[in-house]
Amino acid sequence: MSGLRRSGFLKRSAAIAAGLVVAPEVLDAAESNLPPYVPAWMKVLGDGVDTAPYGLPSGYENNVVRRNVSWLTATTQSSVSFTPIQDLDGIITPNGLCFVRDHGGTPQIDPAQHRLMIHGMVERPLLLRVDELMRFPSQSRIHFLECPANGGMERNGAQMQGVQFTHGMIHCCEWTGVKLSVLMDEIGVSPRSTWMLAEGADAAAMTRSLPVAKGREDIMIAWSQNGERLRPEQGYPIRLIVPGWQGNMNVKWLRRLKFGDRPWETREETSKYTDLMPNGKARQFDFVLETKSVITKPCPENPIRSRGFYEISGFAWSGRGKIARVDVSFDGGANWQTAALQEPVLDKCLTRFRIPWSWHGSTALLQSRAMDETGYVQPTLTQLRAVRGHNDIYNNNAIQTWRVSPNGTVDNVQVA
Amino acid sequence: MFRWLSIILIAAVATFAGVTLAGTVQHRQYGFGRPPTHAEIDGWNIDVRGTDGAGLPPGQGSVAQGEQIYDDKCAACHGDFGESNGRMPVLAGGRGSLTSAQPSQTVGSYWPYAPTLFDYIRRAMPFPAPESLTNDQVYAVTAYVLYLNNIVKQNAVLNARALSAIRMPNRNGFIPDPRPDTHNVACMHHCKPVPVRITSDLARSLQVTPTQLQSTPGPPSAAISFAQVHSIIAQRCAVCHSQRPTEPGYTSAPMGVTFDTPAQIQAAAAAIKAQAVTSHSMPLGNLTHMMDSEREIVGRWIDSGAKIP
Repeated sequence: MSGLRRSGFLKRSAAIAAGLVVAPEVLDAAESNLPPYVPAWMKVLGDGVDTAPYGLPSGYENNVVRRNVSWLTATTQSSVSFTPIQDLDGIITPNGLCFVRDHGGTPQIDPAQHRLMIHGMVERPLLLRVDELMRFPSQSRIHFLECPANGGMERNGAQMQGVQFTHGMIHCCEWTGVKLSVLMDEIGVSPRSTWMLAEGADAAAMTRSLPVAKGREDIMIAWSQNGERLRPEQGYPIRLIVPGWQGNMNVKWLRRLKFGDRPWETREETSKYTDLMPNGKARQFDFVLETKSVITKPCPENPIRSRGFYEISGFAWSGRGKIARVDVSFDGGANWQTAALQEPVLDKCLTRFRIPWSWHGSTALLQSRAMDETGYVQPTLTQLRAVRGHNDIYNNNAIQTWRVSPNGTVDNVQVA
Repeated sequence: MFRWLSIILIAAVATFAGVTLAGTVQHRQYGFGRPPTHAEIDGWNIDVRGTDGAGLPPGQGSVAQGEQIYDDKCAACHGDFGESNGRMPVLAGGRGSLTSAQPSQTVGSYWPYAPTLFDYIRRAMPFPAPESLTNDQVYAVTAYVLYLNNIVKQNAVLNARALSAIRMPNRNGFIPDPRPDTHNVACMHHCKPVPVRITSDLARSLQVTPTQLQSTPGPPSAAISFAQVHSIIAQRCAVCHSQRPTEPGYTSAPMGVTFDTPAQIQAAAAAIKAQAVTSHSMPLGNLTHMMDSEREIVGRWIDSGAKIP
């Protein structure tokens, strides 16, 4: 007891010695936890290990959440929430922060009451329980998943003042599941089958047609993301993973695969997810998500706090393969410098880039420009509009511009 | 004799190995699961192919029957004439608009195949009650939506054959993917004149971006007073959920749920959390404009024990 008093005395002495005029008793809560004082949480026991059987982020991180744009959609069930990419490091998206695009709400599915039916042009139609599916040989792969409407609100002008809303319809997870090619051999897909239909067990009974060749290549049926079972909003208990292709083809809550010899022309591949061109024709079955990148530090949500050293950082990705290079411009695209890529650089996966910068308080126009292993270079918005006009809301992979003002604020702008 | 024996032997070996001479797998390697029954397949096999109507079921429906169902189950969202309410999808009109600055991509102006309409209505509509219509009703609603687009006549009756025979106005409106269609080069220096001209600069002033939650950082259990919650519930929920609703059109509390007293609010805490915090199902259509920050406050009050004075 006297020891404690003694330590309090010493602290007060230290404060006086340091020239502080405020007595310890009237320090505000924040200051009283800082040197030279002993923080309050060191003087009491913390929570027991059983306090949070499923751990949650610190309460001080409660600003790191998905957000939706209430004016964008008529309902929250056929809608989208955005990943807070401005708050993330590395390349993996935490499961609870992965953007959600539902077409009929998130179903809460009892896995014991869920089945996967595989039929159509196959020799041996199959009905699988989830636990049976999980007995097949498995693999884990890290892939990004992006909605082709990501950036759609920016096609006709800078609109959203935040990278969460200009680029947040993307996430990147380690997916574990069975390769579709394994199941295709198991059921004996007819050599004449060229397309398959994937159907979800949600209120939209979401359906998309996919080329069988892609199924042979790298499609998988996943049951886990980032080591744990899929979240309901990501397709629990099972979903399709179609690496590098339109997000909604990665059908969630997968209940049926039907093999056929031509596409089904479903609503979601005719009236939606097609690209209206200036001549009135619409591009269809434009599956691949082209090379894209964005700076997340800084961005409108992450203004620059002071002059001096600043590490610029962001993501790059390509649906065609690996990222080969990312360049960064500080003057709106007149001059460029090559950024460093963080290993690992993986196929159809987010790649983190960084470049050091010394900011002296003047206006800057920051851009990032990615190149993939095929040699394709991310386009400017001007180039994109020259080909595709203004009516296409999908597949905006244009270079993003952030304007840094002398006061350190960052704005979403577009440049010539 | 020897030759026959060889052939039999080869056939036996091939069968044993489970492969044909061409090398394709002839049986299940892993053997998990079982074949679905015909009845199981029939129940789930609901897809209809747009190009030729393959998969359309027996049955039929008329424009007149469809109008009644549409008025009852569809018009609230899609409007009396397919013009839509709010941001719900527009179903009719828009012909000739696809090259304009305001294209209207409707069933009549944009959809390439009529059977797709049957497929989509059957699997996903009405939005709050999918797969609730009979096949005859789906044919009827399909006929009515096509009638709203001047694609079928007022006396039309649609069945599998008639629906498959319809040629949609935008049948030839779709083209394959020609990408990559941009050809940027990775120029490094003096790529364009400086200073670079800014062409769009309104994002900050538009103020259409959701603001980040401005709640004071702190543990989720930071005390929320019931008074805060009470005033939110009173403004956003109790205008309908009351013995005497003040919201026009409501004469009694929906589902009999009332929030007139603190005890009633506390008793419904779990339901409030599920409907208005975890999901945004309530308020219905966010009629009362409940803000995210308010949902956050209500959620924190419930998480910390939903205590009332």
